[in-house]
Order: sequence, then structure tokens, then C-alpha cells
Amino acid sequence: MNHRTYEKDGVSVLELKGTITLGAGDVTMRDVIKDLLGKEKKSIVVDLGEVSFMDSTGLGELVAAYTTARHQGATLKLANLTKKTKDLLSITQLAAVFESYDSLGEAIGSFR
Amino acid sequence: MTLADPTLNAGKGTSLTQSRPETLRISIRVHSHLKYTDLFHAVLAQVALEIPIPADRMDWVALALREAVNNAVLHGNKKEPGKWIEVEMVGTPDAFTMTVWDEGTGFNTSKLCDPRDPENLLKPNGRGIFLIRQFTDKVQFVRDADGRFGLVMTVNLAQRVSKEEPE
Repeated sequence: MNHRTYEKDGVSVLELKGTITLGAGDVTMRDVIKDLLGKEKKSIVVDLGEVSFMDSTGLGELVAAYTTARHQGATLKLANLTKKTKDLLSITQLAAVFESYDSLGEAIGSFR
Repeated sequence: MTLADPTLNAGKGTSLTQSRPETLRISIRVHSHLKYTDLFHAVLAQVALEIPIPADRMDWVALALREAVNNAVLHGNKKEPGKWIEVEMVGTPDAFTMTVWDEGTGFNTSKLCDPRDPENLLKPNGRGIFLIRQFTDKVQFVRDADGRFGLVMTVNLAQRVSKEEPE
């Protein structure tokens, strides 16, 4: 998994690319989210538009990131979900947990 | 190979769940390590060139296989690298079956929690077997004469079994 983080309109964006599977990105995501929270970032969007494959570990990492953010007074939202990621969240009923948006702009705008 | 469950076919060279002639059989045995999950995924991608797994199901079937292999390494063999895992892939005109064997004691499937329950929804773990059941048409847990634990996943090829569809 590749990733990059950047700031846009006061929102921290974590852009993920590739696969989020056991041993191939899950730890990276955890570390990056912790780093953002350590920098007192309170508004985070995870851009999943270029995530090609996610397994239960990847889902678990998203959940862990969400709960960690919430416990630290931050808000984590999702953007650009592929159909497969949407299906995965729907099947596991995590779609009801995450606030997700079809575009990055909408996700960032939702913090205003 | 003799299986503990008498409802399953026991003959070598015969599919665990189907009586029609096999069109493909692959068996790969490796030491127990997560690095092999990608290998099995790649093998499945090649097998799909020979077995008519519907294209729209391939990623989900691959996800089921990855979950089963990860489960075997982490929970079945408890990360002990000296232990073995084996993956069998068997195709017939009717079905494609993947069996993942480990040297563990297995687990009580009745104690598996539903990750969709409100008390489990925000837990980071516990979705692997659930996803396997969602993305394959039949799941069986078996033990062979050597005491190995097997997770058998069957994908129907001739007729799609109705599963819960995403909203």
C-alpha cells in the first residue's frame, strides 16, 4: 500500500493506494492515523479511491482508526469508496458506522 | 485422505463435495507464513483462467481464500513457522472448491460472534470467517486422519446460490 497525507481547507487527507490487507498496509495506516492525531489534527478524511483490494484486516484497521480518532476528539470520514469497498462496508454493516462521501470535495466540505 | 465427517467424500483424487469428474486439482503445501497468502492468491488468479468462476465473484472468492490462509497461519498454526499449511483447489463442472489445511485444533464454530451485532461492530477483529461465509456458497470444517483441520469453501459454478446482497 502506498499513501500520502496532505492538508486541504483545514482538513487532513490520508490518501491510500493499492491493497489494504494483512501485512501489506494495515500497520502503515495505523501509524499514519496515530501520527495525525499526535499532531492534534481533528478533521481527517481517508481517501479510498485507489484502494484496489481490502480484507478483514484492512476493515479492522479502518474501524480502529475511526474509534481511535473518536476517542481523541477527532472525526474521521471516508471518501471516494469504490463499489467493492462500498459492498464490503455494506455487508459488514460498517456503512452505518462511517460517514462516507462520493468525492473528496464533499467529504472536506462536510467539515465546514 | 480420510475425513472425520462421514458426509464428506474421502477418496484421494476425488472432490470433497462433488461427484462429477474433476477438471482441475492443485495442491500446494508450504511452511506456515503469511508471505504465502499472496502466492495462493496468484495461483487462484491462474486457476480462474481454467475454471469459469464468474468474473464478478473473483475478488470475493480471492478474499475468502486469503482470509482462510491468514486464519490458518495466525490462529490454526499460531504463527509457528515450523508447521505446515496446505491449500487444495479442485474444479468440477459444477463447483470450485478450496480447502485450507492447518495443524491446529480447529475452533468451535458455534462460538463465532456475528461481527454485525452492535456489541461487535466496532471491534477491529472477528470478520474473517463471516466474510468467507458471505463470499462462498458453502463452508465446511473438517478434520483428516492425520488430525489436520480443514476449512472447505465451495463456489457453485452451475447455479448461483442466493446470498445476502449488499444494500
